[in-house]
Amino acid sequence: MKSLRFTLSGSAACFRQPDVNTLVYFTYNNIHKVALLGLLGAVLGLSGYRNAKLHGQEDPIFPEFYEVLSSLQISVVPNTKNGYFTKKIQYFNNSVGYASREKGGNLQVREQWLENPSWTIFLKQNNLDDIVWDKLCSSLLEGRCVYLPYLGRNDFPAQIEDMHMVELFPSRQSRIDSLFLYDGDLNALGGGGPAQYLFVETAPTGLVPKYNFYEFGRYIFTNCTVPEAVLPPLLYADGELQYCFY
Amino acid sequence: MLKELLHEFTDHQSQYPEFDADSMVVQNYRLKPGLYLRLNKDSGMEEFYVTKKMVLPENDPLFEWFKQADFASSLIEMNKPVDPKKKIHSNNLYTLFCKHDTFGVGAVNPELKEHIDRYFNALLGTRDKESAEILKAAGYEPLQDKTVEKSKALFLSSLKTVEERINHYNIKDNCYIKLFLDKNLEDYIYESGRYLLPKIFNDNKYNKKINGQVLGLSNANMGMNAKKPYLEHKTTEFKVPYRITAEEGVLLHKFFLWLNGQEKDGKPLYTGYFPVGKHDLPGLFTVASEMKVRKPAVYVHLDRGMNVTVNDYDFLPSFRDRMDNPVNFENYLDAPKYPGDKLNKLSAVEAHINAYLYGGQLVRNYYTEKIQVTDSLPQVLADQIVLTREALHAWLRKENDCPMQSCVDKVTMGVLLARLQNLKYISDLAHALNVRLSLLNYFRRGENDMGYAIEETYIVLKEKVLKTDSKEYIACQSSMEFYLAVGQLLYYYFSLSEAQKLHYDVLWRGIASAKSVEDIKREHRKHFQKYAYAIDTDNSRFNNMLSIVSSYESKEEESINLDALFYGFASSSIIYYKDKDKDKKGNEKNKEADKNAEN
Repeated sequence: MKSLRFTLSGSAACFRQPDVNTLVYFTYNNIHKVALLGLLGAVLGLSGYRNAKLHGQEDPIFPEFYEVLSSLQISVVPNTKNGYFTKKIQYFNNSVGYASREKGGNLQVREQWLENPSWTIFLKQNNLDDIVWDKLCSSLLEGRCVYLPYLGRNDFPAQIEDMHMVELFPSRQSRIDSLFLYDGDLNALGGGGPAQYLFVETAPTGLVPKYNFYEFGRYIFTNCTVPEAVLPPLLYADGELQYCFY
Repeated sequence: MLKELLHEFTDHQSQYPEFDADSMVVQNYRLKPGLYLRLNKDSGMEEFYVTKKMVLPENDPLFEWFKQADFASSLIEMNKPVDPKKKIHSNNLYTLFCKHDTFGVGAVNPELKEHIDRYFNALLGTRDKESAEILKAAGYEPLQDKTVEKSKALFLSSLKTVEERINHYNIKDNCYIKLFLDKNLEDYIYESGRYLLPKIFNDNKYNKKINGQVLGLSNANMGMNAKKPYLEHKTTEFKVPYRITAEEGVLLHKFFLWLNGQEKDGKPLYTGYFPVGKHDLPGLFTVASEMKVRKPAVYVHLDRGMNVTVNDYDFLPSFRDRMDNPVNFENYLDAPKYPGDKLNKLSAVEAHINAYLYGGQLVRNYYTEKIQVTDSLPQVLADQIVLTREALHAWLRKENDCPMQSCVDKVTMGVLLARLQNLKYISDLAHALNVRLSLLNYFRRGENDMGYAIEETYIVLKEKVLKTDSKEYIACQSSMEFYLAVGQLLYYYFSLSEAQKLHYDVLWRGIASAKSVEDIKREHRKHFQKYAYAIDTDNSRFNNMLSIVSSYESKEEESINLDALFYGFASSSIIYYKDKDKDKKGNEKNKEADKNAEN
């Protein structure tokens, strides 16, 4: 299977978790599928959530980037020890004026940012339209984009490097070297020895039609072995490592 | 974040069957101070008076009953009352809670009747469409007028007796007066649902009905504010950030109540870890020292105001308190009272650094937004804490030593210089320098141990300076020796001063800001001139030391070795050195040194 591989990195990133907003906005540790599709949508120049409203059109079932790209399959490998990125809570003011109607017009924001995140990303065409896939591949390989791709906020430009077409082969090993979605019992994952690590994060996997709420899934990154019976589908290897697509 | 926490919370019961969310929440639920009265069916009354500082009874059935009934009947928050005027603070028809002054001090407040009428009308009153929908979905039938009237009458008829009881206890403060009807706890729990379900969302105006299920805005650590339009998600289709089902809302509510009650040794817990996967302890929320086995864990820090808010969250893929490599806190300066030791637990290392480098000011200020400047915490140190705490926190609480790796030198030196400004004892400087040198050695594994090198040079210097019999000219061998000697001399001048109160700051301002060897020498000369009147020309040790300092010429541009300088200052003085063997022989020079030491 042909797959497009590239490294996605930046000096900082913030993929906001939507569940709390009182004191601090927390970030996901890894770029999730919806955010990555949005980033690829920016590369291709597809429109986002607000387009229909801005142009007075009827709300579509999905924003264009999701409508077009959701059939794409991806695999993400965090390039850091144990899959953990250093995070820091930043405290800044949003003083544009319209962000707060309180006296002074100042909105205080505390936001957790990832520091120097870097992921290796694999894209798999799956059911994506040939024309779109070819355009996506050529844009990425030639380093062209329509809108500026960024990591969660437009303050954090995304660095896309090392773009290659690679050949991957179906595989069924028990050790998975990328993030994968896993719903089962965490205690079933074993091995790894004294250096065992297990990273768990419930993060968006897709959008609900019409309302566009997030659908959530549990992403895992670990050096444990996964029992044969609960191995996720869509495993591919490049001869050295095994990646899971979702 | 919340999904991870809830997962461990619910998963805990499958690992510890006795951990049932409801009873765990009630178990550490604390009754607010006030008078608790149960109106029994035989028109008798049972009561319990809770004061602020009392030791609460254990296994008292009446007290336990009050705890559970109160838990079921309290408001989620003051912004979600049943009584629109917020005078009555209970939530169902079996209870009547109000503050002492609302009830009436001395005698029943004439307005109380009005409040009670309004409260019971509100209980009966028509609800908005969304609330009605939620209640209907949960199978609640509307309340009957008759039932509500009956309990209202019971409360009204008891007011006089309640007043007597208040006077009996001679209650003066504005604590709670809480009346309960004698009902089964199941009834209480059922009726609490009538209040809780429609109020569990932040605001029912955001509710959406999808596939027959009502989804509403979560109320846990979530708020919308008309004055802050950017709390809304402006660029998504769903606008308000996080919609959940009412059941999940109730679970979250319980989770945060439970979290609120977490304490250790009678003190509320602010920091803790949730083990992920297999839970080794029945407590679930644990402190670092209890994380004995390496495993994934969720780190949480809480802000405890009116409500509990999570203000730091991180998922640690592999954490335990014991470190793979211990930190060897070496007593390089041979300072008295410094517990030099190999520490292999993050919590112990944290305590050590906090005590000996930060003078006890770091840990308590990890999350302080605006650090209060006090006598023992000057502005410079507060600034340093703000600059350095993130790196230390990441290392000591999350076992992520990446940030420290790159800034250990800057962090420790910055704090040390800040501490100098109001150092109480010289030994504090010695302790702080010990920590700095030990940490440098720890983070620069494979490099030369600077502390050891300075210590060696100090021994050589000592030999040289003490050698008083030879008339040889003593010259400086290395830059490190020079800085050590300068430090020693500065301490000597310091000890000669007869000022009532000496500030290290005066002595150090010039030194710490020196840019070159020349600056240091100039600074030294200044002090030498100042105290020259008190120095005996026969003091050979001093002369030797001075000769070392003045004979040193820097060859090229070199950075200033403040470590050696501080080491020289804070380690024991060679000029005052007392040699026990020679003492016995009655060495003249030593006698002179003794005399100086006494001064």
